[in-house]
Amino acid sequence: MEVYLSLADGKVFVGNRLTQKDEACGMLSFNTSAFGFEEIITNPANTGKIIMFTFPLVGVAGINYIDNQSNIISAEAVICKENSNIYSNFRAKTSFAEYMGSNNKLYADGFDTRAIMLYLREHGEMPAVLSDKKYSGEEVSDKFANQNYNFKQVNYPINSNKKIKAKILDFGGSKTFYNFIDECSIYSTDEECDLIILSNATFEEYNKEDNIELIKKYKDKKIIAFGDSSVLLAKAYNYIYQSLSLGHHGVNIPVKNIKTEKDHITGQNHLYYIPEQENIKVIYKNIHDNTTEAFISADNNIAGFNFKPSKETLINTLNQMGVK
Amino acid sequence: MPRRDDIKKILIIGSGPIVIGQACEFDYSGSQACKALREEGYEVVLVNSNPATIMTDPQMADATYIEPLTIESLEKIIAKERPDALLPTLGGQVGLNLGTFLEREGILKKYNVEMLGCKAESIAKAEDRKLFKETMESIGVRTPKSGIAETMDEGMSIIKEIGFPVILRPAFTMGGAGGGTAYNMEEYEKMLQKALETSPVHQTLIEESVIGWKEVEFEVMRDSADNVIIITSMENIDPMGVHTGDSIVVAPALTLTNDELVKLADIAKKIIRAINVTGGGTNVQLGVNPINGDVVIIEINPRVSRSSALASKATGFPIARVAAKLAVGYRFDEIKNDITGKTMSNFEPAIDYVVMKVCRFAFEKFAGADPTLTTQMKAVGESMAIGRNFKESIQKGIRSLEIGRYGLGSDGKDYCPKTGADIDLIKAKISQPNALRLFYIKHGLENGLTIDKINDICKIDKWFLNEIKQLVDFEKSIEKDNIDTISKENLKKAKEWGYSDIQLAYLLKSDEMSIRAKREELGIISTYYEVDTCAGEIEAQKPYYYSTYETFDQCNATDNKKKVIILGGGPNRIGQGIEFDYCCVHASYALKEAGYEAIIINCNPETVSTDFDTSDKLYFEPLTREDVLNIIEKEKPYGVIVQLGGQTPLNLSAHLKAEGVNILGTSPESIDLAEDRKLFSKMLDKLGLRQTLNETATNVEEALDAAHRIGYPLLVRPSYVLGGRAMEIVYDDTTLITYMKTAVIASPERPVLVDKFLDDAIEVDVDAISDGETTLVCGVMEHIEYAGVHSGDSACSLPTWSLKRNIVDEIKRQTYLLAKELNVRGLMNIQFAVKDDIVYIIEVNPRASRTVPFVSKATGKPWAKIATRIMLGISLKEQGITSEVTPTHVCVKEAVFPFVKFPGIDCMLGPEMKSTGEVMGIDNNFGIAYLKAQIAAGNKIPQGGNCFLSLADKDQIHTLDIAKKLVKLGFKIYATHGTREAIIDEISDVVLVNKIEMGRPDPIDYIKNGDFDMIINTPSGRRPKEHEVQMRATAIARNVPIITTLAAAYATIIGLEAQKNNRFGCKSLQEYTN
Repeated sequence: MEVYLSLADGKVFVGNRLTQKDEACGMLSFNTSAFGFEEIITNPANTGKIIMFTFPLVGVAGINYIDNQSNIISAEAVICKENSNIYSNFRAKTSFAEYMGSNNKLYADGFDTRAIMLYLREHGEMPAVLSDKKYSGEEVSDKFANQNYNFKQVNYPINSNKKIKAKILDFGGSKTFYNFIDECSIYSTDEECDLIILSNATFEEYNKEDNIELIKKYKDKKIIAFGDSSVLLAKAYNYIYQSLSLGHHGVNIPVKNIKTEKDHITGQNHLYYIPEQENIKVIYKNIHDNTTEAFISADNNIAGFNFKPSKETLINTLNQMGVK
Repeated sequence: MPRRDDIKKILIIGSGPIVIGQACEFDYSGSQACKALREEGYEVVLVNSNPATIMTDPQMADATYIEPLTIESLEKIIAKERPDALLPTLGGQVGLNLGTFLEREGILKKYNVEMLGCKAESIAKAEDRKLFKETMESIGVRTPKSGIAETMDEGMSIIKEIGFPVILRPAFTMGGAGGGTAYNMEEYEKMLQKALETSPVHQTLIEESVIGWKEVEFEVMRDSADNVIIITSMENIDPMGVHTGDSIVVAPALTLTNDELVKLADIAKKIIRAINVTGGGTNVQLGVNPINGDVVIIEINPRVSRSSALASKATGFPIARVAAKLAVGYRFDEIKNDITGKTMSNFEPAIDYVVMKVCRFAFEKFAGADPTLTTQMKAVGESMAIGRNFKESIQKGIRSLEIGRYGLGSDGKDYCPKTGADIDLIKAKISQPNALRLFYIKHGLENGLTIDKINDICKIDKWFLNEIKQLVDFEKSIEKDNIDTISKENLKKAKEWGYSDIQLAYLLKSDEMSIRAKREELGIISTYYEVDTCAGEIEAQKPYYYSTYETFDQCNATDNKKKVIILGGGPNRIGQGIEFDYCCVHASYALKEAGYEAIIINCNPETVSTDFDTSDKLYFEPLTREDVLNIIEKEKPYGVIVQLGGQTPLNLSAHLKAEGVNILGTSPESIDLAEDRKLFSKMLDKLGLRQTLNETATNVEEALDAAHRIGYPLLVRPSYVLGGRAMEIVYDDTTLITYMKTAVIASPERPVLVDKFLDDAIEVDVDAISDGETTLVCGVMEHIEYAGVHSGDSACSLPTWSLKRNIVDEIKRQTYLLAKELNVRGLMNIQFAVKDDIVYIIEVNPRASRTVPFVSKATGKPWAKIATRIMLGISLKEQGITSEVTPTHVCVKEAVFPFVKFPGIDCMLGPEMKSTGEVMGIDNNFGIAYLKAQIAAGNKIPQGGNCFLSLADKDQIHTLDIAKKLVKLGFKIYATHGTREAIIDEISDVVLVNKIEMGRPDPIDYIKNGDFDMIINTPSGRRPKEHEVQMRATAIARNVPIITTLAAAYATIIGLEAQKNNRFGCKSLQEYTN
């Protein structure tokens, strides 16, 4: 069944709907990874997004319910070039399409995803409606403005025997995020503590006034922000922040440690960054576009990462911040 | 670390001749490295014995040595050039081994040469079986479990450790003889016994079988600051058990999850760190158990490789170029990504298409060769295809191969009907890996085999099988349709799934051009997307293109009036390889220099022509009429060059001309005239030139009539082929009838050529160039072997070595006449035979020949470039090329054969070409040049020792002469009774050897015992005798040099005589030609 992807600027692309649900509205966002589709669609940070995979074949390895980043599909919808009608992998339990369908999500293939990618490259990421009906740009914008996207927090184990206490403010953290926190010997608590960690944030969350107010409360604490929660930090503490035109969404994004000059290939999923400014020192930059990938404040109280750092990197940063 | 300033001069070792397993990918990587290092201001010294390469062009390096790739010649070059460093990682296994030997022998230390890219310890960790295992264990990666047994008892205790199934590999046997896979104890006991018996040292390796596991490869790179990146993953469609060079490979890996791929990539990263590659790339091959994800490491190559060439072309990441820069100290972030032009090289490419590599084989060339695909590579070439889905990619890949198939079946040439086929035959063809397995899988699916069943018998992943099933189902759904009834949607879908117009013509009961017209009418036309390293995320400055059927086209044709398309040669095969790619690359350079936009179409990932910066624009596409016309219609070029890429583009020229395409240079009519027997004979008569008696035949009766008029022996062959495909010498009616019935499909359009064969004639190859006004002979090459051996398999000398002056002049005179008559604009090649001082014309080809690069190297003139300028209308005079060059030094070309890869086959030379590559020997003395060529070709001619002499009856008059000369050179003669009798009066010390079947020990025993250092054996009859074949095959397997023609025997003797009096010198090409 034909399905239309109507963008907020009036541009329309055509594809083929594969699941029952016939309409979805969200922020159109791409991902250049050629695998890890299960992880991407279940990542709470992708709440409210229509995900477009640039790799043309989706679903080859199926869904295994092990690699997921939360127990639900966070993305509003998925579009791709070609859905695989069977799956083949020893861990797989069901097909990608079946998984999308049974979770009442819109999934469509047959899109010329490269053409869409080139369009986004010119015009930037924007809201879109995926539907059996075509919509004007204005209608898309209106629809999007009226949407509410509430991410669902993932359940995570709390190992209180870990070394470092932290209060975690969850704006869309994934399983991997919580596992990583655990690996770094940090445990989450609601008790009074010195360290505040902001998980990666969905676009809905980083736009919420409440969240800004919440963060303002922790002025005297040490704060580490992941992904787009840096927007909340910036808003709370009046840092300058900037938007990338396309965002970094993929698993092959190169960053450089400015001090050691060491490069890392990282997985990322963010749209904003905080440029070098008074009181902000860039510690990692993107190798392609030179934008900030990690920073620390001059007083060492606030830091942010736009990628998943290595355990060592995070611990070093915590040390620098005086968190032991 | 930035560029190293402490080194100034770098030695690069090439990979030598094209052989199976080591093809022109190393010309591509070596050329990239030379360019990369010279643009950094380093002085580059290059050594390679292969004259057909771009890398040995004099302008690619500061000093270029076309010398044998041996320790001896390398030491001479090092002593002379005194390089600061050696880069051994770009010349394949040959280069890497030489680097190791130079280190081990202390030569590098002696001359203070540093090894770059990969230290000797690193190479040892990758190559030494034990060290490799230890290194892998130290990072927690498992190698397949194995043990070595010398007795039954040892074997029985090893099996307890490993478990079934298990592979037995007896030591020192060829091609896995005496080995196999055992699945149970009963089988194992029998096989173990056999394995121990077969092995000459009574030793066998017993190895855990990972047959049927997934084979996954990674290309990983590391810089001096320990940054590591993965270029791409690749998955073999053929599971473990088939050499990766013979497997169909898809990139990226498709059937693994992120979690699994990350684990495998981590292993690859650990490996490159553990073996400590300090600036370069490594290829990592892993086996993955599809049942539970268990991983074993199969092999690593700490150098650029065939796979890295593929990964490079598949992603746009120029691995060799970057590897060269890393080797001299640069970090990834200091090396620009030339495809995007904006970003640096420290990233991992993202791709948004599916890449397929498919292989080309040459089993038809080697009677008796086993076509089963095993762990030993047998493919002679490969093509790469890019599509937006798997189906498109595989169908494009297959039609790129030029094996007469236009996609995965349904092109009118299928091996089985779609219903009622012999299921047992199909199953057999699926279970045994072979070149046609995918076709049989499709036949199986058509005939009711299920995906599960097929997976069960071949272990190919179900996902791949399902993709083929989709094609089967689609074809079924349109089975009742014809060209008029097919829906637009289905036609579009067919094109999206890679169906060629020829397949659609078959499925829709129509013809190719009608399908094309219908498509165009419906607006279903090909669009082009970029290979840009970044999945479209960043605008690329120097991308290349692939076709697909999408809604958008990223490739804008310029309205440049000065635009020329060069059609490449497609996958390598015997008869058409790197030599033609060399010509195409030169054409591109010439076009660019002349201010033209140069566009290349080719699909061979190993080549320099498909490098991103060789042309102004590259289309990575199959070279079929449909694919080429699509591009021509889009680009609207001023003209198309077809005469440089070998037979592939020539076969298209008439079609293209019919579509109104401007074919540059010699007209297709002239090309046809030279191929058309009757017209050609008429032309020769008119010019007063002589040809051997010849006729054509379209059936058995005509052939017999012709034979009786001309008289035996005859040379018979099909028209329009390269490489002497199906060319034979026949001596009687019986063999002629067999030939006509089995070897060729003759038709009125494609008749069989029947020529008188001249026994013992000297063959001469001439390359010439003409602009219509002036014709110049580029080179006259005198063959070493007599006429009857294919010119591609024969050694030859430039200048001529025995021909009289007046004969050479006569040959040149005839060349000028022919060029004028055929109105040649560009290159031409003529083969002459000289017998009793009479010159006969064997064949004329008004196009670039296989010898163009050799002649260019020998004469120091870039003939392919000059020819390209002629095609643009720039005369020889205007180019300042007015005189012929006869070098004062001697260049000898020798062919290199793949016999050792096909155990048991005969190594006799004949009219059908069998060589895969060539080398060149260069010296001021013919004998030395010939010997250098022999050494370079791997024929280890001894300077003395035992020589077994066994000549055919017709050659017996030469026996005494040869024997005397050999004795004088210090050889001891071994001979069978007849030969011994003929010489015993003059040479007293001749050891008598039994003829085979006349009692043991026979010559085969002597060979096996290592008693013969050299064999001279000319075939005794018109048909090879079984035991002679057996003897020659044994000699090949044991690496005993074997000379099979009288002429080669004499040339070898001249060489050995010259060697007694002279030392081998080494001079660079630049020194020879300046």
